[in-house]
Order: sequence, then C-alpha cells, then structure tokens
Amino acid sequence: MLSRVAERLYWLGRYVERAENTARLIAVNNNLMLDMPSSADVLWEALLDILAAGAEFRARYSSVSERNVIRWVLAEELNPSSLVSSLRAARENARTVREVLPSESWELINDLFWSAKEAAESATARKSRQNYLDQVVLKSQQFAGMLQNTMSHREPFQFLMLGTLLERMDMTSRIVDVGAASVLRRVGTELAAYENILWMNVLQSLSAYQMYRQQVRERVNGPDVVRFLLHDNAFPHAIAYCVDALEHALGQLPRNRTPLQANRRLLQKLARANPDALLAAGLHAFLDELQVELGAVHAQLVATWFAADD
Amino acid sequence: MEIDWSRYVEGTACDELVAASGRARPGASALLRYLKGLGGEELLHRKKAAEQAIRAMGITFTVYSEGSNLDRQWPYDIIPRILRASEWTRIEAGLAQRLAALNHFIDDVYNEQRIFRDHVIPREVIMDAGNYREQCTGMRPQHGVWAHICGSDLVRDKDGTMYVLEDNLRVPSGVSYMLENRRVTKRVFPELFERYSIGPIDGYPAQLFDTLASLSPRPKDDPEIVVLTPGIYNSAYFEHAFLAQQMGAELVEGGDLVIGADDCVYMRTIRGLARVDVIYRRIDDAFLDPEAFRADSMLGVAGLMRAWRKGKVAIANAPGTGVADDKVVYAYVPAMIRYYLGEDVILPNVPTYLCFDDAQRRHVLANLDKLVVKPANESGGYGIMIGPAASKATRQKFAKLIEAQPRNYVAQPVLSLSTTPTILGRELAPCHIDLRPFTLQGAGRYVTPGGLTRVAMRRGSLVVNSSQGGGSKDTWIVAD
Repeated sequence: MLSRVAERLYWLGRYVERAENTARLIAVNNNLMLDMPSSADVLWEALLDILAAGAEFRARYSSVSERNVIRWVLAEELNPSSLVSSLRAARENARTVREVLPSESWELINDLFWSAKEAAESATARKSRQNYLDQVVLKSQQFAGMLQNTMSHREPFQFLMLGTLLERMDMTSRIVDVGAASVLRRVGTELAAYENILWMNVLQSLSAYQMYRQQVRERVNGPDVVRFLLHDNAFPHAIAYCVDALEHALGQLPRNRTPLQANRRLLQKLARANPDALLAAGLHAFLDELQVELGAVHAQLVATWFAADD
Repeated sequence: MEIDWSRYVEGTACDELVAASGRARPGASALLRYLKGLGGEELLHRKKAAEQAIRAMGITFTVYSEGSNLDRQWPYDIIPRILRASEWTRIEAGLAQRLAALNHFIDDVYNEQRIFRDHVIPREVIMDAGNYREQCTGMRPQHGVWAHICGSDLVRDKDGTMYVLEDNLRVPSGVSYMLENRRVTKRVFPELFERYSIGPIDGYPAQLFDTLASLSPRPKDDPEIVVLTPGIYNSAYFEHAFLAQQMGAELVEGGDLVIGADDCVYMRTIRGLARVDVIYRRIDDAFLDPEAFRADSMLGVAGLMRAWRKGKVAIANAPGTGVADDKVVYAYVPAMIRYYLGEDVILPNVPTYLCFDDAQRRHVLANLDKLVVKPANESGGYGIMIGPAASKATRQKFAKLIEAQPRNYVAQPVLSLSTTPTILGRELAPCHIDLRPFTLQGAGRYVTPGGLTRVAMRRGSLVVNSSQGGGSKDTWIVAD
C-alpha cells in the first residue's frame, strides 16, 4: 500500500472524528448555556479553549459572543479546524483515496460535507442549531459504522482507525482538561453549586453520561469522571480503551516497532495517573504530558509510514 | 413522449440505424423493432433508470471551469450504436495496420531516419514541429513499440465511407467510459442482450495489463505496474482510478515515485520502497521529469527519463511518442503504411490540406468558407474553425494565423458525420456521432470490439467532445 494513501486515510479518520466531536461539543455547550444563562460567556470561552481556537478567534473578533463563537468554530472556513473545514478536509482526503473506500462511504462523506456547508448559516440561529448538529453527528457515525462493516479490516482500514483513535484521545484529554479547569476556577464561588452539572457536561460532550452511570453508581463527581475517561477500557471514548485499540491496529501493520513503543510509553504514562491526586494538583500538567505522548505517537506514524525517505 | 419515426427520417442525411427509405439498416432491425415496441414513455423511464445507475456507480468526469464542484455525471444516451461484424473486421485490421506503421515511424524518427532520406516525409516538417524530443534519440523500447495505447477517431461521411479523423497517441482517454457504458446498457436493456450476439468488451483491462506486462524490463518476475496520474483535478481522474482498479495496479502520483541510486524507479509504500517495472503514464511528456523537460513540473518524477533511457523501467506510451500525434503527420500515415509495411491502406484518411505547402495553402485560403481548419497540435476540439459556420471576422482571423504559422495548420473538407437516434429532452432526434476504438500494441496486438461512440447532444451540432458538452453511447458489434 502506498504511503500517500495510508497518510490520507489517516487524516480522513482524524477529520471525520474531529467534526463529530466538535458538533457534540457545541451541542452540549448549547444545552448547558440554557441551564446557566449567567455564565454563558464563560462557557463559550471554555469551548474556544477546548478547540484550541482562542488565539485566532480573538485576533479576529472583539467580543466572545455566542454568535461569533458559533460562526468561528462551526462555519468559518478561515478557521482550519472549524466543523465545516474539518469536513472539507475529510472529503478532500477521501476523494484522493476513493479507490480503496467502499463507494457508498464516499457518497456519504460527500453528502455530509455539502449539506453541512450549505446549512451552516442556519446553525447560527438557536432554533435550528440542535437539528444541524444532530445531523452532523449522525452522519459521521453512519460513516464510521459503514466503514466498520463494509470495509475489509486490512491495512487501509487500520490507518483510518489510527487517525480516528488519536484524534479521539486528543479530544478526550482536552475536554477533561478544560472541564476540570472550569470547575476548579469556581471552587469557593457561588458557582460551586454547579459542579455536578459541569461534570455531567463533560461526560455528555463525549456521549459518556449513560455509560458512566451504568459503571459508576455514585453521584457524578470529579474524581470518578476523570477516572472513567482516563482508565475505562470498555468505553470507546475513554483513553485507556483507545490505547488498547491503537495497540491492536498497530499490530496489523508492517514495520510497527517504533510506533508500538511510542504507544506503550503512552500507556505507561496513563497507568501512573491517579485521579484523586491529580484533581488536587497537577491535572493540567499531566494532561499536557499526555498530549506530548500523543504527539510522539503521531510523529512515529509519520516517520515510519508516511514520510518521504529522500 | 411520442416517437414519430417518419419525421425522424426526414432529419437524417446518413443514419447508422435507419436508411433513407425509413427501413432499418442491416443489423439494426431487431433494435428498432424493440424500441418501437417499448414506446416513448417507457424509453424515457429507461433513460431515468440509466441516470440513476450512473449516479449509483459513481461514473463521473471532471470539468475544469467549475471550481470546486469537480464531479459531473457522465453524459450517456441509452440507445446503442450498431456496427456489423463484417464491416468491423475491416476496421479492426485497418486500425492495427495504422498503429504498426506509426510505431515504425516513431522508431525510425528517433533512430535511422530512413523516411526522411527516402523523401517520403520532409525532414523539417517533423524536426521543427515542437513534438520531437531530443531526449529520446537513439532509444529502442521493447518490441520497437513506442505507442502502446492508441485511440483513433473514426467518422462516417454521407457516402457511407468510414474515415480516420485523427490518431491520439499521447494519453488517449475514454476507454473507461466505453466499459461503463456497456455496464449501464446491460442494466437498462437486458432483454436486448438476449436477441443480439454482441461482441464483449470486458477483456480490455486484462488486455491492457498483458500489453503493459510485456514491456517489463524484468520479464521473468511478476511485473509491478503502476498508473501515473496528475491527480484528482485532472479531467480523466475517474478513468485513471478505474483502470488501476481493474488491472489491480497501484494508482500513483509523481510524489509517490522516486529514482534510486541504481537508476531504478521505486514507489513509497508502508513497507518501504518497492521497485516499479512499468509505468502507464497519464501525464504529458512535458511534465514527466523536471530534470529532462519542464523544470516547474510538480507532477512528474525527477530522473525518470534517466531510468527509462537505461532500460530500468518501461513507460507507456513511451516519451517522445507525441511526435506522431500531429495533424500534419496524420496526413502522411497512408504513405507510412506503404513505406514501412508495403501494404495497401485499409482505412482512408480524410483528405487533408497542409498549409505549409504553398499550393495547398492558397487553396485553403481561397476556400475558408468551405473547409474545417485545425491547429496541427491541439486535442479536445480546441482551436478549430468550421468554415461554413464561422463569421467573416473569424475566417479573417484564421487566415492571418495560417499565414503567420503555416506549419501549424491543416484544413479538411467539412464532413457531414453520420447520425444515430438519440434522446434529446422528450424527443428522439438524429444526432451526429463519431467512434473512438482503442488499439493496443506490445508483444501482441488488440483492438477493442467497437469503442467509445461520442455523440453531439444538440440537434445539428458536430461537436462530440465531452469537454464541450458531448455525450456517449454504447457501441455494439453484431453478427451479420
């Protein structure tokens, strides 16, 4: 299999996952805003932080209003990680590797991009926003499911999985990071009462609430949420699950020694994490280190399979 | 939709299916009977089914001018075009004959140049044409063959004669649409395939594979064959991907290939570098190798010409083949056939006036309103003037162009082009068609039974190019 094709499949996986996560994140924020109207601005700030889009946003807009943030993270094509930009990049990558994808999956990603782009303006209005985001999440999941069930689980599929899993771990760690930061910032203020709601919000951003409830019988609380999202090895958005799945996908590929080593370093880093201690101090620093390990895995994929040798 | 066959006949000069008497031509009667039995509404219904099939099968082509909306559905007319096997046998032999002569010519031009010394073709006509590639001099590709894949355009004039209009030797396209048209037609008119014995065309990808494999510099091993594409923005990208898939070959871009220190060509794979034996290239000479040709080319592979010259890789069609893809060279093909093969010409050329010849140019300039003027070196129907339809200003413009660069222009009489029934809106109309069969030459030879019939999708129009709004049809070779 050509290196170029492997690389484009990897990015296809990443971009579709990014679009889905972005849509879900906006949807949850949207919902939370209705519960906590007085802190709406804070929520939109947090959204920008999770998506690492704050600096570019502030360079362009003077105020953090709902309308501006939604436009920037959802529709704005000048923002390379906006939802519509992610779908465009997913489509462009799919286009160049059409011959290795099941043909219906190409039609689906094509339709997903065009419908998301054409309706993007409508999603700036609150009343049609939820429906828009639901559609993006649904079609992204349809795409992932279609590949899971109609594409042979050989090398091309494994590269899609690598992209999907790394992107997912990246997003999970950011959501935990920003979620914890917004709770911590409010300890001692009147907003402390909302702690429970904020952690629920974190879970919902990852479609994790229901699965968490089945696993953890106690009231939603910080240490348990962080433990679930870092260490659960059965929930697909939890980092431990993704590391296992990554190990499996890497195992199917040739010349996988250094990428596997990088993934094992990630696993070791994760295994040492104690949520109770981290929430007391050092969660942010830990998640930064985790991000560095994720970056190291990505760098090994590039060096092993994608990079030009000359 | 009401089909009025008697009115249909009134609009025809030379129709492939219906004679002037209104009766079916030999071979077409079962088809016409079937269409009449079907009736207009059902025909439209089948047309709709075909459009859905084309969409579902993802058959597309690309138009440059449409910005980011790259994919257009392939325009296809459901009513097939029919040729009788007895006529086809002659055409097939004529096409193989032409390609053999052209390959002799290219090999001669880059080596001994006998044809110039023997005064069959003036030397300067070829050497000054801009298609001669210095870098190919002295090369002897496998089997002495340079042009492995040729797509010749054939047209039938009103007297019924089938002429060769041009030979496309560089990167002829359309064969994937020929194959897909057949698949769609089988879906739309399955009943007809029971009544006719139609020459199958599905063998093309295997024949192409064999042709390419026969060029491999390592004939004992399984050859690694790749299709080299300029990428997704090329109008024929669908075809590149299609052929790669059908042959089980890798579809590569220039960036996927690299020349090793041993001058062999390698592709970058997830297992490391893998040697490539044969490149079916779908990019022009000028972009093949920035070291040898255009330095600004992002599409090619630096050092590819070196690898080819050293015999480490085969390239199809060979670099330099374009020297024979020129409308002036075309005029000499009958002479080449006699010169190299010592045979009588099977398929006639359209009479062609060469503007660099003083007497012929005077004739052309005096008759611009009756002739078609073509640039010697363009494809896709660009830069052509159809005299009878052109304004006075356009004719004057072409007169100036011809005077300034006589070598670059040829002129031909206006051919009427035969017609065949085609659905236009809610009407069955006689539309003009041509035919592009594909000929292969490597260790062996092969001609596709039929080819791609292109049809002008406007009443009276003679422009069949898909880049200019033309459509296509399935082509049937049927037993007499």
